[in-house]
Amino acid sequence: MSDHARDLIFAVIAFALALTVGVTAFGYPVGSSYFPRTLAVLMGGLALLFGLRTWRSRSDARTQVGGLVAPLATFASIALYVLAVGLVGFEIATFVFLMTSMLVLGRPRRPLLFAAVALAITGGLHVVFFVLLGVSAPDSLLF
Amino acid sequence: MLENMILGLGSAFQPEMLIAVFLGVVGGVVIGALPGLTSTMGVALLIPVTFSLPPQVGLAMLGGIYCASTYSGAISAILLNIPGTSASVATMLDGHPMSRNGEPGRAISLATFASAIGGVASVAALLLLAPQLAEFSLRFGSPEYFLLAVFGITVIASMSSGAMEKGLIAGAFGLILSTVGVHPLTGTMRFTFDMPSLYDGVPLVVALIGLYSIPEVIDLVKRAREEHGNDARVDASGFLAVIPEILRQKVNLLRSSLIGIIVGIVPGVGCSVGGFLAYDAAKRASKTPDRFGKGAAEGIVASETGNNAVTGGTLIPLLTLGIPGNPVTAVLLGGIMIHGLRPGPELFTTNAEITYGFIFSLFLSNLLFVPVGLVIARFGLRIVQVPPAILAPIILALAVLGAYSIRASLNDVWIMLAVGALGWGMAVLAVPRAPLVLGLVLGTLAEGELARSLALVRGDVSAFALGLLTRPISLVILGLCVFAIAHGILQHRRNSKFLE
Repeated sequence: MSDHARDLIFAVIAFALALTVGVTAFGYPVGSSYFPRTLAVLMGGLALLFGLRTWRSRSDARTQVGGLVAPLATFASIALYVLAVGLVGFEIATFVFLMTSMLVLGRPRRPLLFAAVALAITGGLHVVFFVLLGVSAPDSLLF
Repeated sequence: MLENMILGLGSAFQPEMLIAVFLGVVGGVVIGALPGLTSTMGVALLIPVTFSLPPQVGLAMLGGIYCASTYSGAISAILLNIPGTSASVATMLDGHPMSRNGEPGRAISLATFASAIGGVASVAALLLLAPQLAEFSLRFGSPEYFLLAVFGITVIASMSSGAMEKGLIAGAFGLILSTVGVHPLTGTMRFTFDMPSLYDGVPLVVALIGLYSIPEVIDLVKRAREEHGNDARVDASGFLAVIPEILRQKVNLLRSSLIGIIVGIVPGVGCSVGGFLAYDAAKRASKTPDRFGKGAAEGIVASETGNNAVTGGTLIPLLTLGIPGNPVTAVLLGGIMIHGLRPGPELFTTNAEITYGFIFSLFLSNLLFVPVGLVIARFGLRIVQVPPAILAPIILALAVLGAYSIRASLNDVWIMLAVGALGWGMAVLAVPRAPLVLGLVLGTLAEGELARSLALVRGDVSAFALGLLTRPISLVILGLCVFAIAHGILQHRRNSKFLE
């Protein structure tokens, strides 16, 4: 993607966000919303200014953005992991998440090493957070 | 003040503080040495661990991570020619050539001892200067504190890479995010969309974890199949032999420390700038400048002293005025506030034992990373080459558990994920994240102080504006804001010309 297109996309998103925030903020009583109202106006103005400046510029520079596979895989894996925590509990979900992720990403695949690391990390996190720091473990449906 | 210092000194040597410093330093050295993991991410990920600890213990651990990770980026810079953190970029220039010349142990020793000296000098400056500046900040009222928050965001936005408008927009959006939840004075709900998890606002630590861990993990996943092609081995036998060599460079050490401290005090300028400026000054002053870039010991000493001297310097405006000097200290500010502390004079009076305990713990951190760093460097590549395939899932598991542990709520993990998506989007669109963090951290303070300032003039906006222009300290801060924006515009124009 060219830097020019990237900056234009940013300006449009920022302006749309400012507009949404502004419309919502103007729906609240003025005493509680003058701060976000002012910020929305400021943000919208800056986005407009930046968009116009970018539109006029003639930069041909390009930056490698990278594919969508890594980000989508990361977000999907976290979402599945969190759902699994709610279903089977932290320990099982964490071990399975670590093991699966390492097997998918690792080259060469070393199942024994990965299993040992996953077990050690799961145990370590359990001890630090739930035993030493006294955090209550998340409720799960099955266990 | 002396009494408070003695209290702090006693507090720093409590067993739990020593353990916290040790754990922070070990964690910091590992995080800094691993390419791809930043000091900012390390501090953000470990704030939840410190959450349930006493404030001084938690802060000591975070301080240990900050100091040690700033130093240990040099390990991978020297061994792999990949800086572990941006602070070590200047160290690569001579560190890696020295390593390739068959002296990796000497290069790491020089970097380690120089970092410790720079770090200790900067903490001494923090100890001497911060209380004076804190005393001065007693003259600040609500309008000044409001303007300080604006100044912090302006300066970070203007100094960030890329277009200044992007930084300012990110800062404004961070401030908007901070308004989610109940209004501090009227109690009206804003931007909560009937979601109970947002009634208390966007949880700061959860947002920090999302912003700084998810984009880094995505980067790690992308290069999960890459291998580093270098087989440097570290000979540990000569680690201590460099001490006389370091001590012969007194002028270099002093000059680089001063440069680092001054760079640290100026908000918005990072450790890497401190390292580069010190390196450049050492090269100019050297009798053999032609040796720079080919493994010159002076270059390694200058850059490492300079970048670690920034650490204490950045904490001076942070602890006294609440202005973070770089992204790590912006996150550290979140860590300080989550322990119920607020930067300013109170830190040096009411909470003096905690603050001085934290400052003295930084001395310990800067001394302790010498043995820890040298031991870890002995294992060299085995540690800095932990495969991303193992590292990425571990960071994600820690991020998920860290986000959950703040309020024992899985809803917070979804918030972390949403903020992580925002952070990734910002990385793709080349928008700096530090102004957003600062807006989020300082937003509540800025809105509260603005509300109080307006209440003092019964809501009269023109009287408020006139007040800003007639109060001397406000006027100075306003001038600094204008200067920061003007500097940002000039810098941007210079960069555009350079690119053309």
